[in-house]
Amino acid sequence: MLEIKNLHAEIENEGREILRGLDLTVKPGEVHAIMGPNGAGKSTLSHVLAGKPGYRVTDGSATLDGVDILDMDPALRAANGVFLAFQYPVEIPGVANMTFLKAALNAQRKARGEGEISTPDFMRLVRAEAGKLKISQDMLKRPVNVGFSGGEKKRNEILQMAILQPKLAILDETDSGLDIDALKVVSEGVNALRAPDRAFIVITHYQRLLDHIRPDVVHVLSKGRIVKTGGPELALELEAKGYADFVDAA
Amino acid sequence: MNLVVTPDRRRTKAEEALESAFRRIDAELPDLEREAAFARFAAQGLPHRRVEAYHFTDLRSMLASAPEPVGRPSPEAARDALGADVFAAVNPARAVFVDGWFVAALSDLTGLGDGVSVSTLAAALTAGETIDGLGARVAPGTAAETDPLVSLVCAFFSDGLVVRIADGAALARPLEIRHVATGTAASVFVRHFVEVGAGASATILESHESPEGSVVHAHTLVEASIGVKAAVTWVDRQRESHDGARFSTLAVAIGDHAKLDHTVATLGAKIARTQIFATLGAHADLATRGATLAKGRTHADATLVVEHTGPGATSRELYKSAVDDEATSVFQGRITVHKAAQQTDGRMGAHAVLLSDRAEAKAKPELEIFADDVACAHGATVAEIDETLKFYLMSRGIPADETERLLIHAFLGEVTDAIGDEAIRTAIEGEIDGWIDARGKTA
Ligand SMILES: Nc1ncnc2c1ncn2[C@@H]1O[C@H](COP(=O)(O)OP(=O)(O)OP(=O)(O)O)[C@@H](O)[C@H]1O
Ligand SMILES: [Mg+2]
Repeated sequence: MLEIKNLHAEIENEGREILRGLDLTVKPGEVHAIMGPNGAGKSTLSHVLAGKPGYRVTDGSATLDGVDILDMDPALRAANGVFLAFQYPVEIPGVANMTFLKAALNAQRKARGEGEISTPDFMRLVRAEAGKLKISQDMLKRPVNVGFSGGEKKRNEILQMAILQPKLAILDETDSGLDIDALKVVSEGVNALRAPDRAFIVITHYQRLLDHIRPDVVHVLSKGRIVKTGGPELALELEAKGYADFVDAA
Repeated sequence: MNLVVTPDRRRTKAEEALESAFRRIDAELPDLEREAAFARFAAQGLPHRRVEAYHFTDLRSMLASAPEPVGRPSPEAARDALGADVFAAVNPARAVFVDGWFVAALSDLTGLGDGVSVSTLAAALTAGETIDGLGARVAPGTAAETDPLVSLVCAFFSDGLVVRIADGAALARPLEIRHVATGTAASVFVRHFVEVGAGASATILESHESPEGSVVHAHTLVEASIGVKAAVTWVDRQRESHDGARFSTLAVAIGDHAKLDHTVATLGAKIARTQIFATLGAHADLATRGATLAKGRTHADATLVVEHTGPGATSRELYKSAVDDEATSVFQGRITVHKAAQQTDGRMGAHAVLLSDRAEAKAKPELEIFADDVACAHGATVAEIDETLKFYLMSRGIPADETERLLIHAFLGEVTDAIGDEAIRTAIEGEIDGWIDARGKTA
């Protein structure tokens, strides 16, 4: 599904290389966890895949189902099934959450050649998904993320994912800021979306999340490269020993 | 009529046109201080950049000419001029002016409620009232008196409205003062007087429109007083031709404990200048908000002069502009806090979003404080559309142009959200969204 080869990317204004020859293959239906020290480039990888401005890809490729996504604008990537749950979701004053969700869903449907969703169907969909994630009506009416707590913002990201039903979902530290109950609720939301034609990349620092969302593959990202790949047991090993072995290897 | 003053400098073409038009005024309304008003104008001429209040809006160089005032339109022409009924859902009473002339057949001044009287300025003067008398009754302060645009309206006005709401009375339905144009190139001058009595309440809508492509220079002067403890909502929608000009002045005295909630949306005109001169009595409350949308090679200026004269009053000024193409927006705001105006609470903000590389926004907020116990603040920002927000929206699949629409709407939402009446708010939002949707589709 996702095929990243020798990806090099730098910060546009500084010319500092952050991703330094990263390779990663994710197959349909799989859940991959990416762990790694602060500043390793995990968020940078997620941003480069989602098309955030400010980064320059200097070498390598990233394809989704064989299609190069790096030349697409962010909206087109989303329409092709890429979704990023941000580590730090932004607040958008003046744009109501509902308006935003509907605009996003309809834009993606349009890009796929489908008609607009009817308002009643949309309301039903949002209510059902919001209910599962314990997101209140009030949060739906408010401007996107404005005044939301850290955990509420993260749940709002998962709500968007549940409604947009992406092919490839990248979750960047979605667990940070979530309380114990919310962690469960969000994990259930993710697990409910696991499907043979959908893949997840879960970026996290903690085994805790992986107890709920069982990964098929665990990677260590250090200094802009995947330096170690293993099964779920790798996360436990990291939890016990830290990154020292791998960071030196990088 | 005779000219009182002959300036010693060379007049511009526009000034010459105004002068010759003034000489040929068809004095349908008797003298009315026109001579003195034109003399005030002629002494200064059109304001230019060395006149501080017009530093950013140099009318002497911007106004290439001034079209002639025109006569009363035929009934058919007047009807055809009506244009879109933006406030239809509000179902207001309405006074319609076409090319500056009141048209009774198109107006509906019924159901205004007890204690409310509305007549045309012409009728009031014919009935023996005087301009001096009318001015004295509203007495909106002296700050506007020396303004050249005000002088022009005082010299040239064709007609206007005199609205009186008695003490304790309520305007039973909103009153729309609607100004439209047949499209004939014309300078149009309208002068209104609005008196809101003590404890009274009213919602007043202004609408200004001219057909796209027409060269109408539309001038309006409103002199208003809001009595003690009265409450007024005022919404002004301006949508002139992009080849025309809009010059609006609201001079208003807000009495003790009275409240004015004012919103203006400016979406057209090659040159627009909206000025508000407000004086606030003790514990008065003024909120004025503006949304300016400028595109092409246009220039839109909002100028506020707010004077706190009594203690404990509050004023909130929030002006936002979205500026596209090669357009320029200007905001000038001055809050003066007089010595007696202790415990003044004033906050003024001017914010512009630039939608193109060549767009420009200028802001000059000022505070002038003579009292020692006040809380006043002002802020101004000029920015482009926030890339981070844009990316967030796009990352959910919303295309670039639509994210811009959402963000411009959101930016101006702060101005429109504060309009309490839903039908009025929806009408203004509709105008703004229409402008946003048309972006990039036409030049
Ligand atoms: N816009 C930027 N400008 C400057 N430096 C940046 C920018 N974005 C990322 N970096 C730098 O790139 C490096 C990688 O950052 P990134 O956010 O990808 O790390 P991370 O692996 O997600 O870390 P964490 O675990 O703390 O979230 C860091 O050194 C960071 O300071
Ligand atoms: Mg990170």
